[in-house]
Amino acid sequence: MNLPLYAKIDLTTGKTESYPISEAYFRTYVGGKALAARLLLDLTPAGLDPFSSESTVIVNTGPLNGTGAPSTSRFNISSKNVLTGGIASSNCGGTFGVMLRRAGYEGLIITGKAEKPCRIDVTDGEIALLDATGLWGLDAEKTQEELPAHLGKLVIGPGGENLVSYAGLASGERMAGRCGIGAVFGSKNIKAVTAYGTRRIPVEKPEEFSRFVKKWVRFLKKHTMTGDSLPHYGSAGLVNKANASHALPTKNFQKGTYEFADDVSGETLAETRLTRNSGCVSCPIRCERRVMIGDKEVKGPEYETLGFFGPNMGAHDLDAIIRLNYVCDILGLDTISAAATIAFAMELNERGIKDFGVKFGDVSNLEEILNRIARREGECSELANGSKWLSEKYGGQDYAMHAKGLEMASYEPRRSVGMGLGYATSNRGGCHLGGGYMALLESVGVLSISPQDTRAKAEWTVFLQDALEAISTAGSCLFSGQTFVPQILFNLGPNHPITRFMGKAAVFTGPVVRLLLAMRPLLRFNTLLLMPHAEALRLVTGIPMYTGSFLDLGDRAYNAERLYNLREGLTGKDDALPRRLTDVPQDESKKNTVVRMDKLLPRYYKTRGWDKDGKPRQRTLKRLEMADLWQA
Amino acid sequence: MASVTVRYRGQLAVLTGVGSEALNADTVRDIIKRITDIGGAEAGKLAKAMLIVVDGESISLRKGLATRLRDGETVQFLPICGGG
Repeated sequence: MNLPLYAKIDLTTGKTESYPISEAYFRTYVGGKALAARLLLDLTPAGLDPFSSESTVIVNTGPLNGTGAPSTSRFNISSKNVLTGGIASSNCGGTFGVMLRRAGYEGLIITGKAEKPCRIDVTDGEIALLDATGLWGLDAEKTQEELPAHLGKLVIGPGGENLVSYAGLASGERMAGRCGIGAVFGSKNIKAVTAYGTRRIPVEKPEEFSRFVKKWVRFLKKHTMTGDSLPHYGSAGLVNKANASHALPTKNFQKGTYEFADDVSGETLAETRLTRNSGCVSCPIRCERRVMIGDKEVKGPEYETLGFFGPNMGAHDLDAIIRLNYVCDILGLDTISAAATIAFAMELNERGIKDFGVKFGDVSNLEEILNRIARREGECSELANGSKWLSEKYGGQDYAMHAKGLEMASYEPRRSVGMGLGYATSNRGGCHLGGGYMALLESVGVLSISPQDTRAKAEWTVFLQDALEAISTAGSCLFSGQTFVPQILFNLGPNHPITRFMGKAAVFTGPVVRLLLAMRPLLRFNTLLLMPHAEALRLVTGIPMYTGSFLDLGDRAYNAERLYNLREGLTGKDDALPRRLTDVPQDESKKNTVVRMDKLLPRYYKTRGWDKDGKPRQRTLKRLEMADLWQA
Repeated sequence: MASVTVRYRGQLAVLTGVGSEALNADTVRDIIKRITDIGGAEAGKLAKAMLIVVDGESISLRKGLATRLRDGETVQFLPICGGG
């Protein structure tokens, strides 16, 4: 068995050392965010300031990175969360993760603080700390242009340098945007991490794996989601769908529909702006949008960015959104948190509470505002702290649209209540992906499991959270997991009586999902139809990974991050949503257009095997082989 | 019959040969029939499997293909999409 090799880097002393991962940890946590959470629990004390010298950031990969399996370029960065005080994990595509593995390491554990701006370089097993003073102050694009082209790169822009609470990391044009990890890099004076290597990525059963990969690629290309809709429209295709289901946040989540949504839709983008689609290394899905800004071709906006710089600001200027997406990327800012914070500031202005110079319907000055946020200039320095901080200073907690401190994504949960539960319980804060992405099954996909009904939502949320965590831990893109929605439903379409019946009947499936989760030890099979990633992991690592143990891996990742949050002082009381979503019906004539957390949360805790306060029970941790982490 | 505007997106626009048109129809089912007439069975099958939106609202929130139409409404046929 090829065990992962990590490197531990102390920026204060300049010392680097190998940090081999034990077989027990590899079998239990595998890699990615699961292993990173466990290592953060092991290696850091509770209560650290994320910007302190002692805080630790882990950049790591999953076993599938660089193996040639489809959609497996995703790597992970974990640390303490700047916005929530709990766990941070952020995920990114591009070449860096693959290059890091080829350079000889599956992960880097970085602590301390460099005296001056530095670049950590990993080349064919050698780690060097290089002076990056000349790069400090450059945006993320120029920084990467200054570095040799052959390197895999992970860099910060001015946002990270100036400790913006939602600063992200850039790798090529891909972003690890969420949780403020770019600011953690900035606090340590890390401008860039680069990697290059020629090592062959080990695969335990290469011939069997090669045959499986071919089958998996064919499967992805035949499925409507990964072979047709994502290549044609990317995630941008969700704008009209969310709007049609009243799930498109509009004017800081005041409403769920927007009259001019089509102006910023994926269809309009494809028809009027798209130059081509593109994608990450080894990915057959090719979801990336390519668009022009002047005579320069750049990465186009994703759904979240379209929604948040568009309808959620009461605006519909597609060219402005394309530009603002690019500006956020080069400044090293998370588009979701940046735009959501500005939308909250717009509402503060609308209510006459505080005027930051931003107002609904006007995005003409936002490029300047974003530049001032990234450099923490004047009052924009307050906008750089995120919506939770702003609401604590100026009021408006009821409509500051975050969970635990992280701004929610572009799905209005009052018309997708399972998504609301997901936002509230997601370990890193208001994230749709960490939350299980129930919106796909409730409001924006082919199937619509009664969006207002709370029944079965807790069970499905747990199932999907675990599945997405495991896929991410493996090093795969979550889009490759969307094939678990059966192709037959796409052939029938959302209007077919069978599809509609399934949506209605699914609210009775809670006990079935609970039974499925309870039967995980018996699920000793792998199938392309459910989670192909499990079979790929089995063939690459030699770990006996099957559908059941793959779900266990996700469950373990979820509990490890939960334990980190509890250790840092977050509790069940933080599994909450703003009152706008729980107490104010989206449609006044339909009183059920709220998220009933009182109904959803207890069932969620029970399904997870947590006590009434949201703490994992001893028997739950024992089942997950994490009993050593239990505390009374 | 109601006088409505119908917009076809994606492959359906290719099969019907138009991006949008004005039609008279009582229900969404009438429009599907019209699409089958002008674009053939393949177009009709595709249309039924798409997300159909009447004045910004999915027909799954109304009465499916039996959704009745009113004068001046816009009916959109959108490809099913995913993402996150």
